[in-house]
Amino acid sequence: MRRVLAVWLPTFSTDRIVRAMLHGAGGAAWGKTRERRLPLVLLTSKRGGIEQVERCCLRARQEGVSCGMTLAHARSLLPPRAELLVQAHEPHHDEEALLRLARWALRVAPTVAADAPDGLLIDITGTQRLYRGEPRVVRSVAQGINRLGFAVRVAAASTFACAWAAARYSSDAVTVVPAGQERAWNREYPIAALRIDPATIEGLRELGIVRLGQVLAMPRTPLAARFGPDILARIDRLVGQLDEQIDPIRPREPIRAEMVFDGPSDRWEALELAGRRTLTELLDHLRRHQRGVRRLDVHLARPDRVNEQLTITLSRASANEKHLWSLLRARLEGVDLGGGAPDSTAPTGIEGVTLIASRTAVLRARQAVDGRLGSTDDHAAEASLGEVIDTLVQRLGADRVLRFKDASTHIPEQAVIFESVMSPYPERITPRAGEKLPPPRPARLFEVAQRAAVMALTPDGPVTRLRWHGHDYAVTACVGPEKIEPEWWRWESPPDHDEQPSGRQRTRLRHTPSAMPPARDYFSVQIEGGRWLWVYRAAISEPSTSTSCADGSDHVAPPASSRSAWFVHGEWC
Amino acid sequence: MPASEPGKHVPHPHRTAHTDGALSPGGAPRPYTRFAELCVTSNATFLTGASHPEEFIREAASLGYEALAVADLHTLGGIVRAHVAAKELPEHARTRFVPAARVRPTDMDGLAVCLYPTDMAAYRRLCRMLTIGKRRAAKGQCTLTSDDLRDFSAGLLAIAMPDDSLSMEPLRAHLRALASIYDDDRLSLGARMSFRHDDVDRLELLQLTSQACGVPLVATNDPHANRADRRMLQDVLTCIRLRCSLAEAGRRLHPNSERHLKHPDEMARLFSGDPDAVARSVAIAERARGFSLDELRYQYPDEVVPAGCTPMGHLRDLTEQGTRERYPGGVPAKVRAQIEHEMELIEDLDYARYFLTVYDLVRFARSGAENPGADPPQGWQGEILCQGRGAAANSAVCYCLGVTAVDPARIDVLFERFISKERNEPPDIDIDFEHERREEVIQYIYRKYGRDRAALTAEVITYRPRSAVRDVGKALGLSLDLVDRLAKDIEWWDEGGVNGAKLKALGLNPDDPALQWLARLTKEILGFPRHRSQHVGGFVITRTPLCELVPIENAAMPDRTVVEWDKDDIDAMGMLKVDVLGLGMLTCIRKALALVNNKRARESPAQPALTLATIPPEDPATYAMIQKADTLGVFQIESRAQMSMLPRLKPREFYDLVIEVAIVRPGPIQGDMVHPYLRRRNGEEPVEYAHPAIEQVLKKTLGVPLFQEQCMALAVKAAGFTPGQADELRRSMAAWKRKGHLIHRFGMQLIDGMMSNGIPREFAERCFEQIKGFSEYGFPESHAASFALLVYASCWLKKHHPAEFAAALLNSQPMGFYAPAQIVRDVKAHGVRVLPIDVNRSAWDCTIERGAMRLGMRLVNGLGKPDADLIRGAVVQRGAMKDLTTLWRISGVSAKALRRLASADAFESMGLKRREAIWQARLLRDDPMPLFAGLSEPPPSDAERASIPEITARGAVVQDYQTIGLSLKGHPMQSRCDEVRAAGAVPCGWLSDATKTPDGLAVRVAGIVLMRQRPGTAGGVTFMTLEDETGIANLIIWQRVYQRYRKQARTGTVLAIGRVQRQGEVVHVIVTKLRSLDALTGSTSVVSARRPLVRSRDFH
Repeated sequence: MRRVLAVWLPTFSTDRIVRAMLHGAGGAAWGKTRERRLPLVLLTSKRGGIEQVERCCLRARQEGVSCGMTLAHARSLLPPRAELLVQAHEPHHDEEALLRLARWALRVAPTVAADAPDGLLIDITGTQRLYRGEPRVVRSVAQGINRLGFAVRVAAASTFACAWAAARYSSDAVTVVPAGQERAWNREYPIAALRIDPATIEGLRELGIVRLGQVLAMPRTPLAARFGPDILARIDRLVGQLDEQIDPIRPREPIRAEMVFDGPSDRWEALELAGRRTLTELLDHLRRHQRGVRRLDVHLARPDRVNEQLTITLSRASANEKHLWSLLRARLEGVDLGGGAPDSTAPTGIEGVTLIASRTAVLRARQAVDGRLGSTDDHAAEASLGEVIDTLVQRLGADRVLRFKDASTHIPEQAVIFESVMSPYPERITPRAGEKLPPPRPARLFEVAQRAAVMALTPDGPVTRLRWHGHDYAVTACVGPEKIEPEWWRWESPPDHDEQPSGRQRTRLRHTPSAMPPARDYFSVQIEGGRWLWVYRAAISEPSTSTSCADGSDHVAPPASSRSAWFVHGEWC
Repeated sequence: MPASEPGKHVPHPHRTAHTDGALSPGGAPRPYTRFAELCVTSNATFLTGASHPEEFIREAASLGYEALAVADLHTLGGIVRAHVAAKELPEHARTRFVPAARVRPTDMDGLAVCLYPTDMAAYRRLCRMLTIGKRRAAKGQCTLTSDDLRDFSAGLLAIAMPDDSLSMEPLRAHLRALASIYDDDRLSLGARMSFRHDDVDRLELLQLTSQACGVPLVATNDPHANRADRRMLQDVLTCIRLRCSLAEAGRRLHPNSERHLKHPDEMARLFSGDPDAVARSVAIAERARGFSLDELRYQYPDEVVPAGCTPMGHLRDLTEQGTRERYPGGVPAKVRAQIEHEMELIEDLDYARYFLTVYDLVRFARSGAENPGADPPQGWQGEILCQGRGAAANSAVCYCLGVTAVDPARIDVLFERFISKERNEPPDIDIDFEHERREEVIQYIYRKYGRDRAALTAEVITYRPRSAVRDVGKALGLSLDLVDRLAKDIEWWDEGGVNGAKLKALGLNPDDPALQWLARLTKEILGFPRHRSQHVGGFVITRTPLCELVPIENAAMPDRTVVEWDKDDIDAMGMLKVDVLGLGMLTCIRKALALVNNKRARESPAQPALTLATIPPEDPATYAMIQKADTLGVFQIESRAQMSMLPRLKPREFYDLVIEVAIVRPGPIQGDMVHPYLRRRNGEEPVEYAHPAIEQVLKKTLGVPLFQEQCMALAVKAAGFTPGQADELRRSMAAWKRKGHLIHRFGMQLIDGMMSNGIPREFAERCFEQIKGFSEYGFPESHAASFALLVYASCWLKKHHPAEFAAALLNSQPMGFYAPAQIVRDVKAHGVRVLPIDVNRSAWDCTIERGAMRLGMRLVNGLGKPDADLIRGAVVQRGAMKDLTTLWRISGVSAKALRRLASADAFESMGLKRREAIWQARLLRDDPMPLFAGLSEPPPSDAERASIPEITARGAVVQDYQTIGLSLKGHPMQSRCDEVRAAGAVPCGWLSDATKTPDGLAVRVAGIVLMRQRPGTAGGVTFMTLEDETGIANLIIWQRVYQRYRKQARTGTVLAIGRVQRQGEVVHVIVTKLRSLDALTGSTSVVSARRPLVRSRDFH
């Protein structure tokens, strides 16, 4: 006889957010957080310009928040000091997470369906024996999901509809509806347990029909004439007179290739051969799907100790055997084949090699040119660049191979930043609308601008002589100035002198002396000998202030008497 | 910079050079260089320019510019303000203002063209071209091509402004094209030196290009701000425009603050490589001298004057005609004299056409929209009730013309106070029309004058503290949540900056630099325009095509067009503007009058119909009712604040109503004028006048200034203002958030002036506080008088025809303060029988049935008028229907509508109980059932009947509330009486009885929540009104209590525990605890969880 489970995750979306927070980047910070210190979570979406609560966490619900409220209303219900996390509701992320959870549930039974938006349906027929009794199945599922960090209610019954209803409307978190008791068991549940549309629920409520028992007692034909045949079907499914089918998920098998030796071998040649063979096999497999490897897991079975696992990550999907082998080979070479301690009698070496393409991506379709595949220069260049990067990363580590990134700021020393070449590509490479291309900057920018003494005409040039590193240079050409002002919002606001003396007494704010660095006037100057330097003057309008930048580019405080200080910041090559 | 201790003045480094636009008597020393800035972008280019047009003008004057042109992108929206500011400059300032616009032709990438009219005709062409471009594009956009430039090029000078990124080749091509359009040396090429890396190279290239194309260079700084210190604001505006934070904006911000107005000598130094370019700017400004906005003479439309009449003659004729109607017994001498006096003024100022235009609209409304002729078409509703408002409206002439019903004999508003000879501005008349039919009047205007001569005034939405905090906060990168919190509770911020203590109370660090920037920039951005919207009803009407006076653009609403100028601009240009507004109470009064006239016609057909003007004046019974605060549903004096004032003020005559309307307003409250007035009126305080001049002004209001006019009169009589200054004071009242400094200057002048006349400082300061309060909601006496008339009319109707008045009120919903349930409850308390909705008896509207009120089908949730009309039509034609199916078949009404009516229990006359009716109605389907169509259904079997439970009394009431918003069967609290009494609650009705609930008694009251209100002025206090079957209870909840019980406070039914507070007739319960009584409405309750029982009206 069929027995099924329904799982309901009443706060699935918010639990998911909290879980991500606990395990995410801020893991250390959140690690020891007790639950009561977690923020209240509201997930919202915009409807007609009004922010509306779509999902809320249990504690918010206890404060009176419900889904469908405006965010403003929800806020007014929550304690004013409550730490609140308001995020956009992302149904597609929930769907993905639910699918992952469904896959997790495959460990319970082979037939599992994701029941969007917040439930699972599991067919546990025949698995009871495995768990020594149905109540244990139910409990272990509940505990397992709970341990993953989700609030959960589980019910077992003979029909999916009945289990669905019991999971949601039973008074207990874990319910087992005995076989054949579907009709009797559900009487007191509200009619929403039939999973009918809200309009029908509302229509029945107007007639005073609010419990399942009342619906079950009604004459069927007039009921269908008024509320449509669907309601009868729902009833029949509930009591088991109509079979309900679910759409189970299928477990996804990663593409893998395996080779097992007759016995352990500690010979490099054996490992090399096995590696090459399995790689070829794996790539054959991938090519049929027109996919390339992004991540390759290598399992080495060993008799003497824990199996060894290596992982190779690629910057671009690749199915190039030569390239992949070069990466794989380098890693395999580092494997210790010698085995355990010399006095050990256990056999040493490798027993088998398994390659798993744990992440793959579609290979970009390539236009055939002159009857040959992938011969366009762009593709070739792109692919070979990827191979070079992979090789470098393999040798040096992902955090040591960097690429430039435009930071879109006027401040020269911050305009270019480095990021790991393996980090995902920025979505946007072309400048945004209204954004100017970066102005020309010297190829060599000094990490710390170097003091110089300058003879220049006031107020804005040109520079005529330059003394730098103890040498005196005549300037042969000078272009400028280019005025760059600091990003004011990073500093404290200077006191506002416009302030009208206000009659009311107010708390004065602490005004520390403004730490905003001065604006800079940049000049490109050519000194005798032809070198072009990039110098700037920090225009100091207020005397006797020492300046210090908070942006890391500290420069020497100018002498109190001078009204401006000069620096060499780079050299044009 | 040295630390600035409080109170110690430290000169601002940038400010010492030039003062804030205020010129020293001799003016700044003349610069050596003559220069004119011709390419200013002001904040009329929304979210781009960082200074007001006025600021540019004043700055330019103090720097000694020859001229300044405001050239905003695709708009002339800033030119009036700049023009007015230029006219206000002191004599010796020689800066001239040049109106201009900037265009970006779609076929010339990377290039803007600034255009300067040289004569009136050229200005008209420019306006027309912008209108064409704007009407082509969506709201706020403009699409123009070089072909358009060519079509409208005559008389215009042009400066081509290439973007930095535009390379030389396309620039040359564009320049050649433009040179062929603007021949005769009218085209120039703009060059700027703003400290970019390639300034020198770029200038050289532009020089070469200029020589190659034969287009001379002109120097400009392309300023976006008047001063360099606007850089922060400029960056923030850019971020708001681009919807990003400062950190994300990157190179989309300007690299430096050089694009501001610079001293002419500095410009000469920057352009030392090309002095001709600087000189060229002055030459262009000279050539543009041919046109000034002063030439824009506004002309009134002609239509309103019949052929062969002079406007003045026609106005006199109409007025004479009117006097005969108004005063059938002969015109009183006083009124006659006043008419003559007003006529003289009107003739002097040539405003006859204005009055005729207003009269024409009123005439149109009076005649019942379109004259229906002998056979009124279907849906013709007859006369549209209307009433004029404003000082000019309350004149004898307007009374005779029928524009207002306020008899000049009953109130003396000085006519010339608002029509002053010095200011050549048209008078101010707003006309209120019935809110449901205002659109007919608007369409009449469009029909009569055509769309190219009539358009709505713009309403430029400017930054107010809340929106400013929100937008600036986002630009500074504060989290959305924090921005929301800061914007919601704006108390931490005020003009002076951050209020540290309040910020701390919000749990924030007041020293946080981001918050300091936020406070500072919020202050700066206040009053900056954000976007353009349409004015509620201000129409501009002209004789010549309007689009040649000012560009017209599309509004967000289809079929609406809006001019670019707002109310102030229109005033400044002396253009005719009529405010066509909608007022719900007029609808209600017309409907009530119609019902009353029906009744009177039945009783005695000979009686003349009652109209707004023939309602008997000064009826003692009506005033008795008003004094008891029995004013639920009437106009204006029905709010809780008004109601609690009525027993204290005890209105006895019409003028008391005028005061009542004006006194419960932010102005008098903020100026602390209410209590002194009440004390004096009740004889608790002697009526004294600090100065004889004051007595003259304030005699009517017992020495306490209550009206806007009085404040102005005080300024003139007691503080020595000139009438012109007083008028400026009035204007700055309306705009003090925008031009805060102005009102403070006036404030000083006012207080000093009054003190020098021997008036105590304390009184003077209160006057000034009040003036500031008026800015929030200015309420002049003339408006109060017009409103008071409607107050009286609605009270009279309520007193003498309660059933008709209540029916009219229900038929005009939504309007006013109260929900249908309270209106019905109130009318029942006045002894009127109320009959339930029934398909065989009710119409769409509520009707009067043998003295009783029959509720109309309009109350049924989700039912449309067409369905109700079908039912009513069928019943009228075929008589009462016996069963539901017959009604369905004959009337052709939708089954869905019948289901709604069944839920509302409207089939009583068919012998169908609610649930039975629902069960039957559910069977009917709108989609045709092929086989059984038209067959009547078998009556429900016993088994069916048995399966449907009986409805409980409480269930019936609840369902009534859910379907029609009220119940005649009882009160929702009635069925819970036992439960509530067991919890110790007394009936709410006891509160009105001082013997049962004396002051200070600890009480518990319970009821459904009708209203929650937290006025901004009340310091965090929440007012809440409860209702049970015996009456209402007014609760006061202090913030601390509210915070603790906020969850309970937001539920639908509450039990309040507190203490009675009695102040005269006013009774409150000061709440200490709240408990929610919302039944545990689980999903199995009959009460729908999705719909609250009573939707309380919440005001925040």
